[in-house]
Amino acid sequence: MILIDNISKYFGNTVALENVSCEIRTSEITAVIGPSGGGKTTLLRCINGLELPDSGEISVDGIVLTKKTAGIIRKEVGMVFQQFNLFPHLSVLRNVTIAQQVVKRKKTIEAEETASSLLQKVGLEDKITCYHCQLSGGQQQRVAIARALALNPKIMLFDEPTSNLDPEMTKEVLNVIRNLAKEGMTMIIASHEMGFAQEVANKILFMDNGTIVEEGTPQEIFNSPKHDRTIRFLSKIIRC
Amino acid sequence: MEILVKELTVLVNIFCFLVPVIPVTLKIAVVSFILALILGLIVALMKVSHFGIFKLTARVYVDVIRGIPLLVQIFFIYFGLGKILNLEQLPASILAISICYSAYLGEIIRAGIEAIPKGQVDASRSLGMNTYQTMRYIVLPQAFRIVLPPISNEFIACLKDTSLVSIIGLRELTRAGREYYSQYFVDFETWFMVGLIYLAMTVALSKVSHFIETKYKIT
Ligand SMILES: Nc1ncnc2c1ncn2[C@@H]1O[C@H](COP(=O)(O)OP(=O)(O)O)[C@@H](O)[C@H]1O
Ligand SMILES: [Mg+2]
Repeated sequence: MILIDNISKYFGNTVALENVSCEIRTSEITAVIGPSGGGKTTLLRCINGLELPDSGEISVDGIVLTKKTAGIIRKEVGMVFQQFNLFPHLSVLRNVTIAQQVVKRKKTIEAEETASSLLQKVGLEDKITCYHCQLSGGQQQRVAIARALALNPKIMLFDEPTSNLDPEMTKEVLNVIRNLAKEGMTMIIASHEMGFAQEVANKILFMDNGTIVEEGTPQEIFNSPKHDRTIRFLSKIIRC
Repeated sequence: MEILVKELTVLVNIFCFLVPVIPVTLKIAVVSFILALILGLIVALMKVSHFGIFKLTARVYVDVIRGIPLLVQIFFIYFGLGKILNLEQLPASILAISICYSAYLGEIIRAGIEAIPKGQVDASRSLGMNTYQTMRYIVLPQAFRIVLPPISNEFIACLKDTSLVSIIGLRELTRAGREYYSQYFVDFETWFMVGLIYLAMTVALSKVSHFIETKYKIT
């Protein structure tokens, strides 16, 4: 379970997050939506300890996130980035084994077995042995998902995982996330895919200007949004 | 015809005289450069660290070393420090060259590290790797590929700069050339041959570095 207690984060004069509080329960899938610049990325980066909030507190499974505990928490929390961020100097397989070996000190064979089965799970069994191969964006993102899953995290964070992908590739990646949802993985997904958010999420957070403007079930948010800004945002999305 | 044969004999004689000292030149270049790489890596890591005192120390070090000619550094270390520390010519030469090159290599390596996109560090840290592991497994291997071409240029420059230590009497290639010349007074042929040997070594080196570059290229 993740507890976010009144956190704020500023970059110079820019407000990235202001007094954000929320609670993410085990096996719950939370979709974070909202205009760009609203603070979605910063919120996810804070949960992973990639940014430390200027005030307030985050705790993951009872451990309060600090510079010192960030390392422990990251083993429990996997993250998938908008830009994939695969390691270009490593093979597909090695991308998925490296953290297991370096962080968890697993033996090569063991790490490779885990990696193979994860790559199979994301539909890339034919890429396991390929080195220096050209991967499409969708394939890269699926490798990135396998890489994050390799440490067997309890929680997965997705930061707009499909916003750099064309529709065909988006489908591939969303299917992988859908399967994780079926397995009961706790997930927080920042996304512009409203249909997908509505379908898989138990809870929607609408963020704007660094705050959570509105929070509720998909039905509440999409069918009867209360807040002006939510209504305006959703009508714009639906129109285009 | 006779002249040609005579000329060739002279050149062959010089060549045979110089060949035994080629390993000396190579040894100075290789040992100094390896030390310079280690020092340079330390300088680069200090420069990208988050500790102000490390950054400042590294900056002053680089600025001072880069601001003084290598020849003066050699004199300073051999005649100045050498007197106190009792340094022989070879260690003094290696020390001077490695310190000098560490400043240049430090800057090159720092630029290489800074060229790695921040997303790589984010991804690595999100996988639970600490600062050391991120450097060791993610940043440095990628930076290495970027800095390989400028670093091989530096090695070629370093090899040529070893000729400067001839001035403190270390018997390397250039010094041996001077010895030959003062014995037989054939200036054109002597310096032609010395130059040719340096050229052969640098050309061979750029071939090797080109090979390594293609091998480690990220596709
Ligand atoms: N590293 C940073 N440096 C400066 N400003 C930042 C940084 N990261 C985010 N911001 C600012 O914080 C605000 C929230 O950004 P972000 O969390 O990326 O929003 P979103 O992911 O919803 O688009 C924006 O105004 C953005 O410009
Ligand atoms: Mg974002």
